[in-house]
Amino acid sequence: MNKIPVYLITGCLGAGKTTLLNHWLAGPELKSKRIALLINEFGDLGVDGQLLPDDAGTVFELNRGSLFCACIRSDFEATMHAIADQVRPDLVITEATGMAQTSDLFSFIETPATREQFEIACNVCVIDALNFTKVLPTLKAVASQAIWADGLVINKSNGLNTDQVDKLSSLLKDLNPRAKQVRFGSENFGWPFVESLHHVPCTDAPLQAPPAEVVACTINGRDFDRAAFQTGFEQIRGRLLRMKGIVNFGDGPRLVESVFDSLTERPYTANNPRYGLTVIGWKITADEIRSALHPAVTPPVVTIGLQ
Amino acid sequence: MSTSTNLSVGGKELVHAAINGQRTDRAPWVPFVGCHAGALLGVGADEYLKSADLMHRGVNLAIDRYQADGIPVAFDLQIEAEALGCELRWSTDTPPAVVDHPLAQDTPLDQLKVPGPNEGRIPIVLDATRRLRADHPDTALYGLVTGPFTLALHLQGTDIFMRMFDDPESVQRLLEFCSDVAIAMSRYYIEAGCDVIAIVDPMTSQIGPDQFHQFVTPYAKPVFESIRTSGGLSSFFVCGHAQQNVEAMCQCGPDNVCVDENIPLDFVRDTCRDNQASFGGNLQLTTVLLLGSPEDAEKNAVQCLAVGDNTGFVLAPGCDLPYATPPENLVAVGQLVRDTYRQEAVMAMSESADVQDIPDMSGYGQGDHVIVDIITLDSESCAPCQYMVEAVEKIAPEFDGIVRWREHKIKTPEAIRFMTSLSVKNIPTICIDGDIAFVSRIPPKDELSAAIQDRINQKARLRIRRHQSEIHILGQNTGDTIAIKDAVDQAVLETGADVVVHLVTDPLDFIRFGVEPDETPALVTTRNQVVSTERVPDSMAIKQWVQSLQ
Repeated sequence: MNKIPVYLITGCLGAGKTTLLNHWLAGPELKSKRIALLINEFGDLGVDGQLLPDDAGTVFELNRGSLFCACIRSDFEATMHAIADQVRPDLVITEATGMAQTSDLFSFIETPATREQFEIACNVCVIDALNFTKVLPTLKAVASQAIWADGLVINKSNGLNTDQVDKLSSLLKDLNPRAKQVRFGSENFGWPFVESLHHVPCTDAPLQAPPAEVVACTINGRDFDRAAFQTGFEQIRGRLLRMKGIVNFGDGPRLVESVFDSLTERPYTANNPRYGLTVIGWKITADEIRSALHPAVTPPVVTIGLQ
Repeated sequence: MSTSTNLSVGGKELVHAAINGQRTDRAPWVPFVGCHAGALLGVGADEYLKSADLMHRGVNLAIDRYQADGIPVAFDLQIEAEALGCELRWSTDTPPAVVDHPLAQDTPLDQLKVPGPNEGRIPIVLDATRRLRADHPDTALYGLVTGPFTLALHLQGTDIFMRMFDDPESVQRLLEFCSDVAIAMSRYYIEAGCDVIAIVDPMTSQIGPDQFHQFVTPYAKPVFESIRTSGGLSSFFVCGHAQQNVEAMCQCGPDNVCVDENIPLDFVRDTCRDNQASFGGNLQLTTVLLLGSPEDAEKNAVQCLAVGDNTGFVLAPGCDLPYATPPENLVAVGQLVRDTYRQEAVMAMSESADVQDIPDMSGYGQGDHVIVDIITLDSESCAPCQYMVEAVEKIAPEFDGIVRWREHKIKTPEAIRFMTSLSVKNIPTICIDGDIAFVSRIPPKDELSAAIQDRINQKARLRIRRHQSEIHILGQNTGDTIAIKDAVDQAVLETGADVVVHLVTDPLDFIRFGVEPDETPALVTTRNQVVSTERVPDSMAIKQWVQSLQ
């Protein structure tokens, strides 16, 4: 008996997984296929029912309050069995929760009970270009999904300039050199892209923490010396992913923001601003970031005790 | 058979001692029964989690059935979120899911107020707590409170991870509010009679230690301080891949840390002990408790108990038990924690899992003697094993020369192979001629005697049947055939031979004996020897054939 191929879509909530899924379903390649959708997400379903072939009975949704733990595994397995028994689809597309680590999803699908009936065909991760670097130092799942993807679809790149998208692309290449990359909305991000991917199983244990190369730190302080800040920024700009915060260069609170190596600032008008900068770097240590930016804080940051 | 080691100590006292990090005579057992109690009552999770009556009945049932030393009143991490305006989607076999997030819908944080004890489903759970407290003064009741980080996620949605960068101050204000909610909820539960407050914060498993220190510690710490001030005990539950944060969890100041199967229990034990916290966990929810057998549950429990070493350890599943968990798996764990002999046996048997060369025992016990095998841990060190061996020993002289008995101590590979080949799964067990007869129960003398006698009788019947001869008379139901039948019956009567006489009248059956229909009437003896065809033989000849069959 041929195994049923499973196509996995991962990516953060809001990255555009459902939009991508709807795009695939609307394409000619899947029109004649019998498809089962397994939606593992909280919040709205958002799948365009009219795009689904035959009937709505092919959509399976996992609904669990304690979604975040091992409990989901039993629901997942039970649903896979139901799909195999009731639908016998040509293929399954699973839209995973943004909180799931890829290794867990693989282990759910490849249990002794289900591996006779299913096989993972490929694993596509949707990257939210605007927010990926913001959450990368925080969420283990975001890194895990990008690292173990067979293909990466870069979405929401409209808010970035070409240079910034290229830098994101190169960051992703660094994280996952083997994954094929494609931009959302380009000509070739439809189903043929999925079919062209080469699947490599995820064999590693789940991540314990975000990648060590990603570092986030806070620079506390209200008053900054502009010239010293510029000097410090130049020292680290090639290794910055994001920076954001409110500082006072002597002319009132200003919102300072950096995406990769660009730097923008504008007056901050809300009351009671909370001063300080949050900085996310790539292949740099928190100490190097602090050494570069602390001299700009006035009065200077004094470190007491041994480092 | 139960060999409780703690008859004098109530479950509640055990839980208190373990959570306080003390050595206990045995580890307390706390099944995390949530909507699973609905399954015990035959109602859906959507009905169960909305009714104080059902919770009261369901938890009562679970305490009795699973011999729980402690138990949560409810396991539903959406209670606070619902009281704060989150919409829930209900299911029949899982807790509800939060499907919208008020702060993501432009509700400002300052419009949210810490819920009072009469808001949402909070009064339902508090009512159930008070009733259970009255019914079970000796059982530790756990009040489960949604941790600040997870509640913040319910209220804000996953957008919170972006805000940690974009607007950390708003996230911190939200977390302060969620911390206040957890403090209030803890107080309500303690006032209603809970012994232990578990702060359940599964979403923290999603982040690394840096973010934990920044976004969890400052908001969890005051909750544990408040629980301590209110006179309650506390536990920090986190399921998922949270190994990186266990130390940080301890540093938040809970009395106890409880984790699921995703984290090695020995790692948790060592980290907790280094940080003066007790620990708990981590029976496997899906592969063992939901999908496994009672034997699997026992084996997993024994492994956890070995790591816990009865010191500052609470045996528990890592998270909310699935609705459809087979009750027998939890019953098995409840019995096992009280039965040290059973624990030893399960440990020995788990070591036998990879035994090779299982002998084929299909022909076992077919000899003249009746063989009684007693599979034990060791009758010299295990009291129930000793009593079982004595029972057999005592009765054996009654069957002198007929019964042979042997003890098989499963401390040797041979004995383990033997036990496995007879499919014995419990210790001690008596097998009679290879068939399991008494499992973990010392049979009274009469019962054992009767079982052995039954086997002796069974063997005698088999032996007689083996020696019994047969004569088949083939033919239509006509005068000749009947004449032969009468002559054979007469010969059997006169000789007293042990012969069974069959009349075969269906021509289709004749061929079985190699006789054509036109050769009837015919007479065929036991060994299918056709001795006469197409005639009625002389009665003297018939008598001789009958005699020859003896």
